[in-house]
Amino acid sequence: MPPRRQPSIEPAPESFLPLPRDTFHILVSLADRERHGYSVMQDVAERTDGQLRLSPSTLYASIKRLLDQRLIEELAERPDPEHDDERRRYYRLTRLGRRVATAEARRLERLLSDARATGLLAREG
Amino acid sequence: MPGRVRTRIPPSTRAFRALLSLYPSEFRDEYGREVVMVFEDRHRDASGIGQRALVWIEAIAGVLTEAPKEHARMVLQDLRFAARLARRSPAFTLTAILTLALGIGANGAIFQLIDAVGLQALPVRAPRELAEVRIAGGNKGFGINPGTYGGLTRPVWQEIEAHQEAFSSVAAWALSDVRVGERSSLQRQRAIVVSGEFFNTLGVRPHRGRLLDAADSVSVPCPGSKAVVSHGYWQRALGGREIGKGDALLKVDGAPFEIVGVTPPGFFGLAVGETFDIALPFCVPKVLRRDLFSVGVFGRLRPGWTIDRATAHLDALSTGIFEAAAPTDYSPDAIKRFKEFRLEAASFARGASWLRSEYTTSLRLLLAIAGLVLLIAAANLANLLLARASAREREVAIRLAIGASRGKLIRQFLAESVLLAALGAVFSILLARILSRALVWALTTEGSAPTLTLATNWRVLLFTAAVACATCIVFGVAPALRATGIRPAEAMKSGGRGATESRGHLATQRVMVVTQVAVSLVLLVAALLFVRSFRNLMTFDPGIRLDGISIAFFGYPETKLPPERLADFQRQLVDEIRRLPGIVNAATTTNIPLLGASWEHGLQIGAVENSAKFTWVGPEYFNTMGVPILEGRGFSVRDTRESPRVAVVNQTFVRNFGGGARVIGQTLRTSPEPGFPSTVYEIVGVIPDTRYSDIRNPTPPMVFAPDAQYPGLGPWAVVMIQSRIDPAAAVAAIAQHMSKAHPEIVAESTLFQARVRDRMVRDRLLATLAGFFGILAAVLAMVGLYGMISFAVAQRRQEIGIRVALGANRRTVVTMLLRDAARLVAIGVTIGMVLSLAAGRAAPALLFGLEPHDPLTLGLAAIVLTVVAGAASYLPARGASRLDPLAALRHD
Repeated sequence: MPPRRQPSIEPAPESFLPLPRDTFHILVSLADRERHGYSVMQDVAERTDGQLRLSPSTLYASIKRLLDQRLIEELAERPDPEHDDERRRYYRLTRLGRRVATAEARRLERLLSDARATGLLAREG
Repeated sequence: MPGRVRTRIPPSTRAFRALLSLYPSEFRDEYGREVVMVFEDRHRDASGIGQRALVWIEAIAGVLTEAPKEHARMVLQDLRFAARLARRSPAFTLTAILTLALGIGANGAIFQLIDAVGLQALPVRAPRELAEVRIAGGNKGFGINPGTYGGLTRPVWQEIEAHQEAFSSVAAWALSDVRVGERSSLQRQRAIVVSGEFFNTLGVRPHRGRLLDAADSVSVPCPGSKAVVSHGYWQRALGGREIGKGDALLKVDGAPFEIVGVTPPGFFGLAVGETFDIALPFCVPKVLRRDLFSVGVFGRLRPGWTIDRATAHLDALSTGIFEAAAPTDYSPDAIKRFKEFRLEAASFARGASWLRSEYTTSLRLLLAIAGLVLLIAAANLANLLLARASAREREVAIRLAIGASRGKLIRQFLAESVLLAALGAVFSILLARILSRALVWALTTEGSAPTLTLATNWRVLLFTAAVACATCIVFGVAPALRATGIRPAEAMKSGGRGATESRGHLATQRVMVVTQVAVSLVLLVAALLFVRSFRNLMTFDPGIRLDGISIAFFGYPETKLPPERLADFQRQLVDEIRRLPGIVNAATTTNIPLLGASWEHGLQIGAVENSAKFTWVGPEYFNTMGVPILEGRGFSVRDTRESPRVAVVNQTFVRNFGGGARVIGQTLRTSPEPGFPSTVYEIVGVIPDTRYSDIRNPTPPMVFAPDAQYPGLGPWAVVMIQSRIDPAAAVAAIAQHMSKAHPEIVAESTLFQARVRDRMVRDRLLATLAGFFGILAAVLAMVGLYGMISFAVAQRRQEIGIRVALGANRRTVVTMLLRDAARLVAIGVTIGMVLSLAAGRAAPALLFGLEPHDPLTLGLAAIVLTVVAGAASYLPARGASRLDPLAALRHD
């Protein structure tokens, strides 16, 4: 493929919202560290108590879209050479990806606080 | 990888990999390995059969949902890319879309007509349950056959109705012309005459009032009293006023009918392409002719009955039915033939259609021709795309070099073709709607205006889609394969020039040019054949005068003349007409030639038993029609009812029955028929062979007798009139005279030559369209050839420059280039000849006066195409020879 040029103006994070459920979980799982595909899958399954199980196909469909949207990027080097399988690809959030994930988290937070304000949910503490 | 121990791939991984083949290759190349690894990890980590099964279910479900999405994404991406490309060269895009729209549209229009005439089911309840009852193999001209759709006699129909068990109900129908209104303002209308169960069997519901039923026809003496009108007639002639109040009376052929209802809109009867104005009930006539094959019979199959079972049932009934319905006043031989008829059932879902039998072959042929034109046009588009593809060779090479897959590139090239074909197809649907209506208009004559339901239904859409796909394959696949089949290194090495010397490109183009030349030759041959055939028809001398002849019909039942006065009255009428200014001559006839009618009589001459066409004509008939008497005499006023019976025969008659001997003075005896007792005629004259019922058909043996001796004389007359003024003016003068002198006589007239020409509409249509397509094909082939030679010249610029610099003269250069073109044209013409000869087998029935393998036509087409091809190649070749060698060499 011919090399893509970086767009000069980054799109507004809000233009990606609301994020599809799978997408948000993948971004969250990449928020603290770089991961390879299976690690993302395990992390998501763990955090959701096995509620959300991504299949290899759906996982990579999301990864492909996130790469196209420049929300994540592939690492050129292996982060953890000792435990690394050299064939695996690692991904991390881009700056835009992080901003989008944050924006989505805020949106959800606002939604949550709205739910609390109306008494739909019990207040914390 | 080197040094790596190759482990056995577990079957689960292999199975999952196989599953991944559902993805587009790009996705597999990019992520396939990763996806497999993740699957392996999960499969390994899963414990127990239950979890493994879950992993598999998730994996399969994931692939099945994601793979199609991935394909769709790719296609969308390619189409967007193609749209960008298309916008970048709007002239090419527009030309391509227009070409495709016209090409596919022409095919679609013809298909729409085929669909309307031959594929659509009747607009009635469950049309597939309807079956027609007919005589297997037809009645072979037995008795009187007045219409196109009557296959059975009334007595046979009554026997069927009484005895059949295959149908839940049966009905009979006939179409006829009636005159509606008062005498001063008679209008000819189309009537459908129906039996009691007609509407019930079809399941047609009234739009207003009620429809006809058994009570209107059973034991109601003719002419009957109740009628139903079609929706069109109700709107047009009755202004859509309320029906059924008792005041809606209509005079049909002089008898009053009460209009009791209106048929629904869209119900046109049973004859596709025709329509009716009024439906009249079958009534009980005073005399029921047993040799008048005037009715069509159909029924609705009982549940569980098939056409085959119905046929077996009808066949078993046949002997009894034809025994009971046999005519009496015929020779024992003829009656025996009648009793041997067998009935059969045939599907009636699509109704009957004169138009269908007349035009199906022609329309299919035109569809084939239009298809071939589209093929040539698609080949030209392919050439244009090839040229563009070579311009993009470097881009393609670079992309291949940096790892783009060939599949993706092919898809991108194809996406452009698909986009063009799809847009072309969409516009073609609009165009087809217009073109198909123009086609119907081209079939319209004064005598018949086809009314067809031209619909853009699923069959038409499917056809359009199929044609568009086929076209797309023709013009899209070759350029895509060619453009991506290059080796990157070579393409980039060859500098800024259009890359790889394009030998392969030229080879593809050569094949296209040979195909184009071959196909256009076939089309040119078809065009010339049909144009020449039409010209033959138009200029053919049928042996009788066409020009300046008009035909008048007179009906005078209201004069209540006694039979012995009829002949005199007829003579008086003809004399009056002959005395009108501008009229040269006039004579009665019982049969109008060349308009399809036929009247055959069995006869015996010497020991020979046979039959001939019989016509009773007035004394001046041969003069009026410009037919010379070769031997003996014609008729005169001295041939009367009382004088000896005399006859004039034609040369075919003499050849067939006279045994080459002199026939004048011999006698012939006619076989008896109802109303026509056996009579002995003395042959008094011989005329040359003139065409009888149709210009196309060879002359049958013919016998003429004096009109005064016609046994079937009635209160009507058909008069052929020769005028020295314009026949239209003569017709007007006659009408004026008749309304003044004989207001009680119903008079109608028409122009002979115009009616004869009406019967050549099919030939005219074929000649016009085949001619048009033939010229178009030649032009398209010329464009293709021009493009190829120009491209070759551009490719060989350098070589030509060197040759010219080294002293080659211009003629050598031109010859060199033309030799290449000539070889291709020669191959194309040869293949085209073979194809034309093979294709010609479909055409003989549609041609007049020449054979499909007519050498003159084949030769002419080859010459025309060679000249056209020569001109198309010469222009670029001459341009090349004028190259400035320095400029050409500097080019790189």
